Amino acid sequence: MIAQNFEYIAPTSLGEAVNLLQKHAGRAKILAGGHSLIPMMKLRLAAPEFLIDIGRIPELAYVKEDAGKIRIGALTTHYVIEKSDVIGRRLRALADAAGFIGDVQVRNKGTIGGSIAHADPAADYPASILVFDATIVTLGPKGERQIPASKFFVDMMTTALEPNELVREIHVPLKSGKTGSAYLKMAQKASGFAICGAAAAVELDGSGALSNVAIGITGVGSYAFRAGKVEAALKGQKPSADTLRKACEKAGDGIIALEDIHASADYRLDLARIYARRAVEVAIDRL
Amino acid sequence: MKIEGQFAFDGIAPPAVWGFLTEANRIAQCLPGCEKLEQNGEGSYDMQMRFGVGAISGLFSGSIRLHGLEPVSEYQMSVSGSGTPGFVKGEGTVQLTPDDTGTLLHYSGDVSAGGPIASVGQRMIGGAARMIIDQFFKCVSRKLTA
Repeated sequence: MIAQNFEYIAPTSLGEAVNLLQKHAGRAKILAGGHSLIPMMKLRLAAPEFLIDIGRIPELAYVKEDAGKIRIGALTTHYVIEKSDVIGRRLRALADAAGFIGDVQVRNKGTIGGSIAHADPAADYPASILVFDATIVTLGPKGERQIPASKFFVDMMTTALEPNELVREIHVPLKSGKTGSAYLKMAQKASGFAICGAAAAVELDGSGALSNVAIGITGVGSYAFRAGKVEAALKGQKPSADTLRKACEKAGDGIIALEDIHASADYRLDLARIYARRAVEVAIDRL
Repeated sequence: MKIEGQFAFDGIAPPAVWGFLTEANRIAQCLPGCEKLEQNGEGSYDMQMRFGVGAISGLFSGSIRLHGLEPVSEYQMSVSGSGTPGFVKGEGTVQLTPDDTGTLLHYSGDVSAGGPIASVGQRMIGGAARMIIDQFFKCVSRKLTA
């Protein structure tokens, strides 16, 4: 199908983009890499009247290490994140997630800002973004806002972004100690979207017990979530196979799982338990 | 696809909830994106609804029919709609049970879809329906306590 008519606007500065978004609030969509929005427009599931292409705004694509955190520009492509040296060393689960997205063409065009603003319930990034306690920096007519990842993903395809705001940057704080992290995924064979994806970030203390453990699950519920009960059960424990298995039984507690032709709700919840455990195991191996 | 859930109306007795849920004008006040809801027969309504979840949006026209009414405890509901993103059909049961502080509403049903929304949106239909149902009941609860 061919998309419904729309007006294409390509601002050259962030200020101009925000003004346009404010002017056409509710009727405009931001175009970043276009790898979620354009397919939906071609199917006429999305029919924005205005498309504001931020691709010509300079300096929105970068990965910088700065004052104890990594700053990732909204237009940074999945490919750049997958191959970034500093992300590979410090935020491995995020590099894993980027490497799992779509195919190489999608990874070369699709962007982290676009992906998280779209908030597909089966997107790969949210699980890792949650375990690293990232902050989403947004820009709107009233200026910048810093939204913690835990408050950013509100529901299916719904974020804390206002209609007149765009994602500018993602901040990921760096821990001073050694953190191991991993993101593992069971993908739907045709689309590559996560039926279940689990990210884990762990730290061990001197005695070999888990001093910090964070687990994020995507693809299972309407939006990505932290497996808080598993984290609480594992904190302070030595990660034996038995301890991990028992704790991860709680990975889908309290979650109303999605269901479709590819995977029932129960199956998704079962995958959440298994992938949570495997993600923690790989994260520990990487320490 | 099966959809099932419940909603607690604290401090609102079943007759009040029943009254709201079976009156077209009041349903329209709470149905997200509802642009038109007109009665065209006994328990039968024409509807136009702008449906939107994130970037996905579309205008649906269709009908709602309430039948098998057993005041104030149970009714059946049939919904069908079609629009640019495809068509959606649903069949369900709504049950109201008195709860010490108010009413516990339980809904269960089956939703099917066709067209573009089914080919790409299938995995999201259940979640999207739940989101709209939840918004609807929250609004009803707010209006009844106001």
